[in-house]
Amino acid sequence: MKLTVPHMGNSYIALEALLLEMGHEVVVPPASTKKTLNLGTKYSPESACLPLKINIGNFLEAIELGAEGIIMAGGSGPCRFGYYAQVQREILKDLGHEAEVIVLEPPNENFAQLRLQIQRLFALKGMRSFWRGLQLAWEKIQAVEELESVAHYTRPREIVTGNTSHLLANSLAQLRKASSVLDIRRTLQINRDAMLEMAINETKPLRIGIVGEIYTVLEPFVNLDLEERLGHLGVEVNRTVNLVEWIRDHLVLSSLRLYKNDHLRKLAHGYLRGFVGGHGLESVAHTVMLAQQKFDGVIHILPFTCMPEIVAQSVLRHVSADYHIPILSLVVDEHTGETGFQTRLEAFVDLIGQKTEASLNVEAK
Amino acid sequence: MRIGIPRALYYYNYSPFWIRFWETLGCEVVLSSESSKSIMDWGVAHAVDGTCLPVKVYYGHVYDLVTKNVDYIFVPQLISVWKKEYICPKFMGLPDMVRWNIPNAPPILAPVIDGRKSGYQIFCAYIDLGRKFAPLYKVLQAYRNGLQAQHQFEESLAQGVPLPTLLQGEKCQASNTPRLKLGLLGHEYLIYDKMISMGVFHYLQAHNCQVLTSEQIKTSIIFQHSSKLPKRMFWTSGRQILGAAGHLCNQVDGLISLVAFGCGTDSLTTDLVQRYSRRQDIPHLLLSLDEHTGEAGLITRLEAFIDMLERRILSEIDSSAHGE
Repeated sequence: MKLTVPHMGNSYIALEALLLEMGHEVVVPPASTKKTLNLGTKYSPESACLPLKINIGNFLEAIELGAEGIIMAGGSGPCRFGYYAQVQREILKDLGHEAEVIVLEPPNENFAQLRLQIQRLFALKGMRSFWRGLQLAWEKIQAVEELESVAHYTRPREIVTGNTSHLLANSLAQLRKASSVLDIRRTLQINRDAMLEMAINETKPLRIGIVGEIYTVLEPFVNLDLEERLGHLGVEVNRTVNLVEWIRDHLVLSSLRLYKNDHLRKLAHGYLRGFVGGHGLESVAHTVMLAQQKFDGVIHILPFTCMPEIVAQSVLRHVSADYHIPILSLVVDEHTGETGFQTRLEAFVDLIGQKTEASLNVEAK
Repeated sequence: MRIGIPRALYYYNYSPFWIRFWETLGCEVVLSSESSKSIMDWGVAHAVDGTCLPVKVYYGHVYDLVTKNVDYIFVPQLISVWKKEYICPKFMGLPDMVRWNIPNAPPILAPVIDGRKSGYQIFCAYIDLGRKFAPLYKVLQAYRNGLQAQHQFEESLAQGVPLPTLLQGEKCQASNTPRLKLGLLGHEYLIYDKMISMGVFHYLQAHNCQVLTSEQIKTSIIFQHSSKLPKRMFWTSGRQILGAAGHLCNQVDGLISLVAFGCGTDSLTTDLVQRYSRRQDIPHLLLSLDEHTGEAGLITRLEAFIDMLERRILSEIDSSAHGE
């Protein structure tokens, strides 16, 4: 059975490695484009949040390329994501597609089912290649995120605009092809050095942190290449949510009941009492953390009608007032226009620049 | 001691308990005024844009209580009222959202109602809350009285007494020879808030339709139908709506879903209701409500739906439920 996975940033690099290692044929959906979005919005419930729609677009495009099985994650609420796969299955069924949706639910939801599904997935080549695949995938995802964060550092410091993005794209393609842990580490090393070499422009860039819903933060098509845009405006970006942490904390540790969010609750104390689903608590806690680390500004990005992030957004403006840190909330959906987006980013960066300059002048006096 | 309770959201589910609980403790319970244009406008102006309409209206109700000079406002943090289930992320953040967005509000009483593991935690939360106002024996008594009132309320609902009659003493005369039987699916705080729903429930009753709603169905029956879903529904209201749809679809002429724009849980559950009812050839009308909904348009759609159902019965032709 040819398997496919939905896009979420560059996670496909790791997932493809895992599935290939386990002996499956993999169809990676074409990178999300306007066409993906149109397909998704056409067939999804109108008021569902954006990730569900893009997923549907990815699936339909992958099915066109011959995918027969779709791997999706599950969840136990309260965020809508936990029920995505169920709705998506019905959508595909009503469209007359026979692709099977294989949902990997967290172990505390339905352990027996999860075991059956995993057994099915590694039935081809057995346990050993499953572990090898996991190791490879973990190594790849770490390398991807390391390279991305290096790119955040070098973009505002590069001499020729666009060099970093070009190098990053190249190195991701190399990583995708890498077939052993050693290979991955070597690719990482070479590309990291090459990227850092370009960062010779000795300016002190503005620093902006990105918080928000994980899918919109990670998926460049949905956030209209937010990180790249900011980088080219001369901003060093710090992305507070990433896949490595998400997999470690939310997928592994929390299903073993070992994950504690005490440190986040401590940071968000006074603003939010605790977990509100998704990354709502993280958004508030990380904003406080960024403010304490004297960042110049924060960008909060969320899909339209995202429940946890609306709770976060409702208290974030007060974090902003208390810590004197500018926050820009960007709500994205299928109608987000590129020009308006760019204008808002430019205005925000300008304002922050003026504010920082003004406070520097005050200090100088 | 004056305790303010906003007449919105889960007021429609748990107010008998809340009111009796506070009254037994010797507090005066002040309810906010019924939803009105000004209450809604205040909420719309002060909430973050993407917030769903019922929460915006809730803000307005809290503000209404602020103007009524209460000592405390009761805004429980409802995480879960059923084992392993949630209500909605916004309910989990409600006390924080209220506290940070409503200026000059008196102290907020926000017990953490988290019944994910067991009902014992809910009991403890109320006891802890009550201990601030009265000695233990009195709090226990208040809790027991509250539960009694709540049971009575739920039993009357199951016997078919309409919710507005129980809460507001309104007369809702159901006709003896209804021309149509309709299932009305949606959150209680939408259906029974005449301002938000533009009185859909009352309109249907006044036009000689028998209206069946989910709170009149026994929990065991709801579970019987919701357990047929391929995956357990983890929102209590979603489970209620899907279970009710499963139960009602064989005994009504048509289903109406009332949905608030921006409601996250409804966006998925209603889509499922729509797909299931289409497969079983049951007419389904989706009414999406927001602050811009006009009454005339809403009534026209209802009229058209009722006409279509009647014609469908009269002609006895197997006309399509969805115009295809």
